[in-house]
Amino acid sequence: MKQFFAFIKKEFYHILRDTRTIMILLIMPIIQIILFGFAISTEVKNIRTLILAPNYDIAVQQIVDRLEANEYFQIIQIVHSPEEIQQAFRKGNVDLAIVFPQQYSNRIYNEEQHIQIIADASEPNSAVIRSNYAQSILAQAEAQLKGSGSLPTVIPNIQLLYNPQMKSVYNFVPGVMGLILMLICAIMTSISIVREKETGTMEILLVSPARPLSVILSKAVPYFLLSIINLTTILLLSRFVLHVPIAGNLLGLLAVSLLFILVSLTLGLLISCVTEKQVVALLISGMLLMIPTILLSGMIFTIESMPPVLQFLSNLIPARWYIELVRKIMIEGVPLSLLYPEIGILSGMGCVFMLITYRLFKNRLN
Amino acid sequence: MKPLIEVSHISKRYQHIQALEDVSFSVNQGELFGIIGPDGSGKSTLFRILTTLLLPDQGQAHLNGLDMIKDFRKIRKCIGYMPGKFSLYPDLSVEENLDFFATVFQTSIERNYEQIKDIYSQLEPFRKRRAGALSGGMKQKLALCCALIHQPIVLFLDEPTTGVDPVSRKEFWNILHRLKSQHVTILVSTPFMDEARQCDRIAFIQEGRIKGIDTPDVILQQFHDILCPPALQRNRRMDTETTIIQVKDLVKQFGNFKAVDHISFEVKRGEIFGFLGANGAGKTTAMRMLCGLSKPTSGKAFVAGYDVNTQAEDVKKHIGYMSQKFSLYEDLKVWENVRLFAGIYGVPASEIPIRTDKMLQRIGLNNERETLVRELPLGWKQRLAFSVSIIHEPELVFLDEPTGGVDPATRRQFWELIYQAAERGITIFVTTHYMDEAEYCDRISMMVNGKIKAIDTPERLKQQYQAQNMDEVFQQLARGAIRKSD
Repeated sequence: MKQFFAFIKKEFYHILRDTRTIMILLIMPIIQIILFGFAISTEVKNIRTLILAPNYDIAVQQIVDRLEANEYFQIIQIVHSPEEIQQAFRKGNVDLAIVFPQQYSNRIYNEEQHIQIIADASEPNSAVIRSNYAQSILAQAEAQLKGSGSLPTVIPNIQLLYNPQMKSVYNFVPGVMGLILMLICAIMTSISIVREKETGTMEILLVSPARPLSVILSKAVPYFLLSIINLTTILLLSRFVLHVPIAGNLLGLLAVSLLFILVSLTLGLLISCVTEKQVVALLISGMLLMIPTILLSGMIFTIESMPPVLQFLSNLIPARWYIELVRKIMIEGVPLSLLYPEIGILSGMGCVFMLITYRLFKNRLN
Repeated sequence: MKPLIEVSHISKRYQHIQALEDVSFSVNQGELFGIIGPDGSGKSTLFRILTTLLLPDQGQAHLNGLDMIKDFRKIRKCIGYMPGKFSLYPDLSVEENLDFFATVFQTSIERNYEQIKDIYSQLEPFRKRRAGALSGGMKQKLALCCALIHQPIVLFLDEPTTGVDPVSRKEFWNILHRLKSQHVTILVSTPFMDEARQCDRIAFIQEGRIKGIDTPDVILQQFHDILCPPALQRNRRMDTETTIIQVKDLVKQFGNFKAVDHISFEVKRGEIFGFLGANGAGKTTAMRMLCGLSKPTSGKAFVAGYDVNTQAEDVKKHIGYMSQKFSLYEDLKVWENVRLFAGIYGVPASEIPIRTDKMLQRIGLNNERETLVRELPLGWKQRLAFSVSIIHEPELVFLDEPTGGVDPATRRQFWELIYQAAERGITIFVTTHYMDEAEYCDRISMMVNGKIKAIDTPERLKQQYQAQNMDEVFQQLARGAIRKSD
């Protein structure tokens, strides 16, 4: 036991004396959270809108007024011919065009009249969001125009649960948590073990009476603590700076985070067992962990809209399950008892990694 | 008496290299047993097998009656091991390193202080210093302390003095003798023949086979051609009196530490100039300034007529440079390396094939044109690297410890190349830790604590210090000064 503590002490010396790395590790989560919270956002505001109205009558006027009153829309021009729309889109200074039919106010009670919405879909996600906004506003305005004299139309009353303002931070906070924890636990742990192989100190440690497994496990302890510090920073920042509520059980959230940290640590140990060079360890963890975590975990792209192959692959990524858990506990406030499947999958992954690591670990050099 | 270590018929093969073949020997309790042989001869593999780090393909070994393969845990408790590589934590202090290894070996500094007192007392003034900031000699002493802290019955030392200056080497070996008198059995490998002579018995190993085991005298006699080649003869051709390097009051200061402290000297065209000094004496720093790689704090230096302060780029164009660390691209073929560097050094494209042929012919590597450099033996690589560094026929070439890790015969071959280059009029500026090589130089300077303490021909230095050989001169000059520099 005394040996084990000596190892841990030494590991802390390594980390604390490498000032640059420790600063990066401690500051990175703060920067990421702030970046995702304030700068990077998928919210769509200031939609530059063009109106094409062959007859600019009172009905059109009313609808345009309504759009203008809305903070999301910014009417930049009212044109009279379709060519002008085309030109505006070409120049790229318009996001959306609303095309009214001929004699709009006369045809308003007529079933076949249609307002056309043209959107610049070079950014597909934003295009969809923009045209949906426009559609809902147009529907309400039309309903009002038709007034009580007309047939009752169905106006859906949309309610957005858990994130009524559609804030993108709600989506990013769980993602960043997954990313940072994976980064620190898996990458840093694997590199620190492989470094000892490279410098030759591993040879001495292997020749010592110390149990090799305790050498390896002691590597994980400091990074475990470091991840807990980071976890706390992220949660505090997101709660008090970004005002993301923690809807569910805080203890439950911490518990699943610990579970994920352990899974990532075993993954890091696993990588360190199969590599001999720091560069290789870094590449493996970068290519096999970071990129899939960013792209396939649902942090940025919705898993449900991926092709089936990628959906299947995303199941293999631990961060995907963790991010889902955080989202459910933190944002939706789902009780833990409903989340056993996800927790089970994550624990299972941890056990499998642990088993492989144990099998691969050697008491000798290759 | 039953031997303490018994090795019988051990073989080990890595993919396509036979590292060890049918190796058998035994070591007695309390013996100082040397293993000598060139780089890549299988010494490190042998050490790793004996320290239970590697499994042999065939054969078996016993240590103190314990089986190397089955009882590896028990063996690991009673041996001390210093691998060839620097094996301390550079970011831990001297004391923290020792304390860590003591705890790992289930003991403490206090409990076994007696065992290491002699060595550790020299390190104690620096116990708060990071291991990475120690000089080569000090590092090795600390590593030895770490290997000794648990009172092992056998010590395995894999080339502990490579890259260490002669004074520190001597101190290191004094420690080994003291340990021997305390009945510690020691297995040590070394590239230095003066160290080999101090062993009780030595085994000469080459290409994975043991060629002979006996007392040093017998072995050195038997393999005289390889281990003690005859001295080189040189027809000195100090034709000119033109100066090619002129250094005046050169200083390089890091913080308040003067790494190079007002040195002044001259080197004549065509000379072989040996630039000697202990680890940390400031040789490398001085050499970097002369090559135009680092700017002097003050003072003047002219190399090939160019001022290193203001014309560093011109300096670089007129010199060649080869160091132990930088040699060649391992994953390129021989001719590809030659062509690449010839191009980099500005040899006209039309001349490259001609020069390549001539050069490969000269160093006997014509049949290896298509071989990857990493497959060449170290001695060949060094010869190739040297020839590449002068392929543009510079006026002057800097060699920084060019012959580490090879046997004396191979080093001698290397020096033949140096002599050939000197005959063609290329000035040679060389650093080395081998004192026999120092004797090959026309003139020598000795650097101690950033200053040049002596500069003259080897003969006159020996006379002046009434010494038999350069090693004694070095010991007299550097002794006492090393302590301060560490």
